[in-house]
Amino acid sequence: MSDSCRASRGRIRRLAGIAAIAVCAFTSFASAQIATAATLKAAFLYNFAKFSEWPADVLAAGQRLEMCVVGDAAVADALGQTIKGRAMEGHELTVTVLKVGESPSACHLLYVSASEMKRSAAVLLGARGASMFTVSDADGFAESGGVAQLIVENDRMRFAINIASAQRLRLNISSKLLSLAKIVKDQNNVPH
Amino acid sequence: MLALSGIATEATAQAGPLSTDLGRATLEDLLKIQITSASRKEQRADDTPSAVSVITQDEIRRSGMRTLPELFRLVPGVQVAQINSSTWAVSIRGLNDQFSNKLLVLIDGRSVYKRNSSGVFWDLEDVVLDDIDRIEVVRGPGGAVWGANAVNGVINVVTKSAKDTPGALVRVGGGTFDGTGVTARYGGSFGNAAYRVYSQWTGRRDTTLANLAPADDAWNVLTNGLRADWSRGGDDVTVDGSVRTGDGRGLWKTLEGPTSAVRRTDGTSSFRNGSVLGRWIHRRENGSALQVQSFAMFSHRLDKLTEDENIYDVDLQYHTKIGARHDIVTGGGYREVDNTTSQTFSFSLTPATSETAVTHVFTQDEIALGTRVRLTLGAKLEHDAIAGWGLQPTARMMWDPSPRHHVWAAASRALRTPSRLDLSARANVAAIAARPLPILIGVLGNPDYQTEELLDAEAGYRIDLGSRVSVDVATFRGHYTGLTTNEPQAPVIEATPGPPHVLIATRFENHLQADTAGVEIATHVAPAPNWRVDASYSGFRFTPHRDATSRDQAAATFDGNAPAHQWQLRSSVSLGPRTEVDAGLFRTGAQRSLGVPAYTRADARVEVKLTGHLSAVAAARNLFDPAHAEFVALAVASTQVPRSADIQLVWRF
Repeated sequence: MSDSCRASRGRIRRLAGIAAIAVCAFTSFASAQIATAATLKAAFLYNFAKFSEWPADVLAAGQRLEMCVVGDAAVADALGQTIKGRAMEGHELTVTVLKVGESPSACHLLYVSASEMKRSAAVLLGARGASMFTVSDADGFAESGGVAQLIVENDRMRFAINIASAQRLRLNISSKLLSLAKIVKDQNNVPH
Repeated sequence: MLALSGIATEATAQAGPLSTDLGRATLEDLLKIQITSASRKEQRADDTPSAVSVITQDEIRRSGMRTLPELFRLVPGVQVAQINSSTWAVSIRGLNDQFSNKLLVLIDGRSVYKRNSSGVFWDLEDVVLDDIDRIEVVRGPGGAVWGANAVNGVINVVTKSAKDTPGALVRVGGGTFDGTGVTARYGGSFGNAAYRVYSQWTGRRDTTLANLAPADDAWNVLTNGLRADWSRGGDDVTVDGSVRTGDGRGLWKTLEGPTSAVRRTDGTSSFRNGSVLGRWIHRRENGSALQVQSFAMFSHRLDKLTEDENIYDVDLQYHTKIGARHDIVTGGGYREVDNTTSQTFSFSLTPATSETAVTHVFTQDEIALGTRVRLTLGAKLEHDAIAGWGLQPTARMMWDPSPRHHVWAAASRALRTPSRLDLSARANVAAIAARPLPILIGVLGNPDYQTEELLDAEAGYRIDLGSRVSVDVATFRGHYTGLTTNEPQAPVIEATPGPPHVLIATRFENHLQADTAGVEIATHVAPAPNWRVDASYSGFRFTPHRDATSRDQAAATFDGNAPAHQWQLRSSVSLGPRTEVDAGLFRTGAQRSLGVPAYTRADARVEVKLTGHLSAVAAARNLFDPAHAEFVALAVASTQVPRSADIQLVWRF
């Protein structure tokens, strides 16, 4: 719902006008949006970075925040568009497309697409232990120890977060992000 | 009161402009945005070692087309020709005909290909276009997975799950030729189940004759249907049923007896049919899935002859992974077709009633050879009483040199088994007064008619240059054996039906071989976030090789009933959040064997969202052309397709 709608709902509780609600509903409906999966994934990745904190030894003040994408050119492009001209608390944002076999050690946030998962087990093994926010849309990623997973449900995108993984990696995820996430417990024993 | 606004905001988002920058959206906003099926298309089509095109709901909506067969024009390599108001000839990669016998068409898993006459009655299948999720078009042999009669391709129309069509939709339209109709649909849910019920009436007006007079071939169809989807855990169940009735003016050529003249008959044609389909998919935690599907169809048709047909079909498929490298789909099925066709002087099948049973098993293994290469081996074994056993194997390879590039190649064998028409038809097409006996011209089926075979090699390349540009190229070479020829028979004297006459007939035989080659190129470009351009080209070459024993003159110069070149250019622009302007230009080359000249078609469409619930659409087709012919059929009169325009009002609640 748009910000103006939320505000008017507050007023409505005080004024109790049906007409105001009807108009609000109409304008929300009229501005209902659609987007491609790639654009949505990029937006979620941007928000994951926005609502998380990395330890100071991994992301120092003024240091560039590196977001890396493996296996999805469309997401990489959309993320590039989303971060243009935006900084996050003094950290410049960059997007890098990792080729298979390239080391992700410089990445703060790493997205691996499901189609690349089979070939990228090596990439993820390299990721563990570093304070890397790992995200994927592969089934069971969060349960297997990844930090976040993007899920498509009924033509909408949702996300799941494995709090234990985040804590292990010394990532501090804001409660705002956690309140909207599906919380996932570790299913497998993840060696680290 | 708050609940009311809750429902309104949660309702299915109307299709609108695509958001490309969501940097300012809040997390709550992001969770509400609807994902377009355009993204599902990119994932699915990119990954397949076949020439696949997917027509999305967005493209369907913005094409301005109001009939299902017209939508297939959007894909390169598909030949769509309107014959008259209610009939079309549709094929992929040549050999088009009113009863195109090398194309398999499925609507939600229900095959609408009529095995007895070999072809599809398009006037019967009046689908609610707004509820189509996508149309998958596979060009090239699909025999290994889909079975015989998928020689040149498969068209799979997939409607949305009932979960994705909540609320009401009402569409009212009026047009000069097509586009007239009323559609009402309501979708709801209870617990884990969702349902939709719908009713649609569509009316089409006359096409025109060469002198632009109306051809008197108008018809209309009423469709009522219900679909329900239920899912819990790993189980999904779908039930889909519909009944259709229609009638109209049929145009066909009839002959009453050996001494009458051929008349173009304007009779009333009517039909009713019903179908019900059930499907259950069971998915396990280990990733394997089992699908069981069954459908039954009942139809009664009255035009040149009376035809009753009942079809019963059951189909199983099992999908599993074995080890790290093998992804296997295997299955089988059984179909029974009971058909009774009345016998008239003009046309008859013998025997009048037949029961055909077809059994099949298939298997397909996708093997990962290394990280970038996949090899798929598949085969289908099919049996029916007429053709016996038939094997259709395929081998396909997919290579991904990089995430953006996909290269694929395939070799396949596909079969087209003889139909009752090929085996036993008797058509009397003309009578000539002569002495001492009148002469009757006829066409005969052949009880020894053979299965036609295609051996085919294809290759393709796809490149995805980010979200703005994609290019898809496919090429193929095929070799057909056993295509139909009409062989002149020695004249015989027949005494019945009287009076005695001389029969000069041709008989169906399989004395034509042919080589085909072609290329299909499709590109999608987004020059700006609100502007999309689609362009495609298809080239096709058909080289006939007639057997030395054949005396069919026309077969020697047959061009495969497809134009050598087709291209199209389409543009879709969103001018702000409320207005869409779309246009398309389609060019179809000349068809020499049929004597149909080349034609260009220009379409345009504008949609304006008047309120949050109501849209108005104005569309026009064949803008620059008062009328043109697209095809010449043998069994029905062929007319010209006129210019048309229509206005639609669409309410969504």
